[in-house]
Amino acid sequence: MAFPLAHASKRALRWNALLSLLLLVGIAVVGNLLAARHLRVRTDFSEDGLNSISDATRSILGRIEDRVTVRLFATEDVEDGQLALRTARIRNQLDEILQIRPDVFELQSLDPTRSSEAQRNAADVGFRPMRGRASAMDGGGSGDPVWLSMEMTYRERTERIATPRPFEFETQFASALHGLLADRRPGIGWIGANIDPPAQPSGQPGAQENPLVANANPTYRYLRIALERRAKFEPLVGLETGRAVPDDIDVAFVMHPGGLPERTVYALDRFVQRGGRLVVCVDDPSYNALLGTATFQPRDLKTSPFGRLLRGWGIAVHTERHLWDGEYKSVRNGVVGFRGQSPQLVQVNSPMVITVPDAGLSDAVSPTRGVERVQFSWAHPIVPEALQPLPPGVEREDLVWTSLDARLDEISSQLSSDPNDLRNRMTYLRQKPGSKHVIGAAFSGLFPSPWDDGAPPPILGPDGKPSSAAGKELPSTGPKSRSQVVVFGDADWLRDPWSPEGKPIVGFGGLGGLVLAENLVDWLTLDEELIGLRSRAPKPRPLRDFLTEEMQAAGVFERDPFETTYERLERDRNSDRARKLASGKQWITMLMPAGGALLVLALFGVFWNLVQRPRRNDVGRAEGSDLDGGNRG
Amino acid sequence: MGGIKVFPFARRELRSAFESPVAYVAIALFVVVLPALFFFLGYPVGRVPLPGLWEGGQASLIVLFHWLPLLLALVVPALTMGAWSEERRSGTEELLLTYPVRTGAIVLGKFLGAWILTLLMVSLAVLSAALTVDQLGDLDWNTVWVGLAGASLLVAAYVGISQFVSSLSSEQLVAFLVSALLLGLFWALPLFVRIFPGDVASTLNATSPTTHFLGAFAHGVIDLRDVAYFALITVVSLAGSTLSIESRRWR
Repeated sequence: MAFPLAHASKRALRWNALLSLLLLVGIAVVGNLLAARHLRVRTDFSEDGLNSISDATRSILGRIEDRVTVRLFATEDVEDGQLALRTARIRNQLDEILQIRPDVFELQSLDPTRSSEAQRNAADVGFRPMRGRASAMDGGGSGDPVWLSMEMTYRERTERIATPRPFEFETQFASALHGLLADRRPGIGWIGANIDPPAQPSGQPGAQENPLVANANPTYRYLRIALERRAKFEPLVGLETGRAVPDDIDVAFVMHPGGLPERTVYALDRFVQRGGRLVVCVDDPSYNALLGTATFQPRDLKTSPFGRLLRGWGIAVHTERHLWDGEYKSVRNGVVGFRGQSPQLVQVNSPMVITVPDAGLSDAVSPTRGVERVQFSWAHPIVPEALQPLPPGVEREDLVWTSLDARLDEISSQLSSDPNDLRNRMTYLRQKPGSKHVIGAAFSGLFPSPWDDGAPPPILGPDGKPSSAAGKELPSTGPKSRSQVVVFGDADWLRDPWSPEGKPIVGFGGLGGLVLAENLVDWLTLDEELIGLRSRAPKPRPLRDFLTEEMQAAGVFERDPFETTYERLERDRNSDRARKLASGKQWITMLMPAGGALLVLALFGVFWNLVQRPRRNDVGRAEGSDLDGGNRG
Repeated sequence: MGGIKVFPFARRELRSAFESPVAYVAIALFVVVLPALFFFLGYPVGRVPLPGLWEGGQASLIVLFHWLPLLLALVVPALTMGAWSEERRSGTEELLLTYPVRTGAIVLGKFLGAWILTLLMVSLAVLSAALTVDQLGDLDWNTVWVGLAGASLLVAAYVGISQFVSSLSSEQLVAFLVSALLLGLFWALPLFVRIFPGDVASTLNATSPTTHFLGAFAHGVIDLRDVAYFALITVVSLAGSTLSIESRRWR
């Protein structure tokens, strides 16, 4: 009788084990579900800190005083798995952000695929489903429309995010919220250079014959698009006719100011006197980025009204010379052609096109902090404070500078970009000692005005000549205030990165200019939160380029214009040697740590076996004693 | 009573591993193969293939971390296939179970031994690659340490699952194949989510250890949800192994 009972008991125990196992799996599933819902604690230890809510976002959220209604137009049952994950990722991030201030947010989730009213509402505000894009992106999918857009309302103001992107959602959300919280959009004025390309090719020499010349004219449409996203943008026209800079303009960009009439300069001075901010880009050479040449049209800032105004403020730009930088030089296309041979397009190092890295951008102020690689062309240096003293009450902060391997060169009427000429010129310039030069600086304080005690300049009539109505003083909208003037010895850093035909003008490494411009606007309009958001880009961590290092060390890049066949063969041999050396260094760098790890492993193995050998004679006894010891313990 | 005398069993596992050349060969291969894939091949899996170190040109170990779930899905079953099946085949399991200690302690000891061995292997490979990258550029070491911490949890889950499979089988090869298939399936789940409807896709994605490891740890983020996931998987698989071994006592 006992055996069947025992048998039944064993069976019961096995069932018990199976049920326990199922129970454990159930606990694991439920535990994970509960953790997913309630254990939302995450810490980002990475140096870039891109995976956690930034301080800038928290600061913007902290400023909310009233209720923010977030209307999320999202498809609940997404058939396409990839889009479902994308939706889930964005909703997770949204939940995480809303949880920081749950008291102020009201989330309304609407599914346009289920409710015709929600679909109508979404369509009314211009939202579209992602159907077409999803199919194209994933190479399949059901093709059903997937909605994912949102609208935020705060105090009867509305901002929309038509296409939330999983990896930029926080920036999108915080920027939209920042726009909602702002009392007004900052006003940005623009004067002194065409912001859009001219309808007809410009009068630049060669424009008619060569369309490249016209296409590479320095226009600023991409800057305008970037600024118009969050500011009111207005070209300042008619200042010479007696018009004042409008009151709602906070920052004015003054580009190529050498030729500005005196009455325009007076209007800009009045703007600064009442606290307006200027970004001034002095740039006399007209640079054609695609051809790599520049034409100097002297509009000497020294004798111009704007130059006099700047010098009165303690600001001088050395427009008679431009900078060569042997360390921050850029690689760009150049044409090499000998007599009787067809020209060849080659890559040359151009010390006149300077790409300033992190080391050349100030860490002391926010606009340049975290900006990567701003590209300047034929830049003028800003005269040091020792040579151009500041008036009382004005302070100076340098923002951008060259490397120590920089020299000043005379500006010739036609600047060549032939690689051989460049090399010869650099060799000549390097005979003089190099030094650091400032390309951009910020000045702040109470700026003196040349018109404080004098009559204002005459206004210009339609014919461009002084009118009889000259001399009328511009109405002042406020008392004299502290202001800021940011000056750069170049305007090309703000230029479009692509020509109208889509040809790249600025290398991708030199696209920090737009970020710097946006940062400057935020800094000058006291909106530093957005700078904090914008700087949340992954830090570039480039690898050592052994090949370039070895090539440079071997002098392969320095081409002699009168190179003989023997010298060319010698350079080729040097090039091969540099390649082998670079390859060898690369392999050594790769193999050393792995080899070290294997060596450690081998030494450990030898040590272990030497130590264990005496015990191996009686493995059973050793194991037994181990386990018995454990038992006794 | 034996209490929870775990460490003698862990030592026994480690000792037997280091007395044979298998562990040395496995570690050496891992130390060579993982960085080689990272340096030269990149991670050509999934919709967005990642370039190798030289091609990508950035000082980051993210590609190396992408390889870990797949390589470990092959290596861990190989290292743990004999944990129980070999004991059973050679008849030492019965001897082991006669020790006056709880089965759980033996299971935990074997788990600890295999976990330490695998972790040593992963650490050597990851740190040697990290040292190389650090010489070449500005490596974010915080991400490396967090990635290694995540790898230790991933290894724990993999070792737990593989030992559970080993406890069910008396053939090493069968244990290896089943474990590798199971872990490979877990690894591959995120690759096929788009063919499933939305809800199923989300569930399958959340089931995969790859998602939990690459989603946070590999980027330098510690998320308690991921820690809970790996902890639960490990505990459940260890408890499963204990029940599986325990059930044999009753036969």
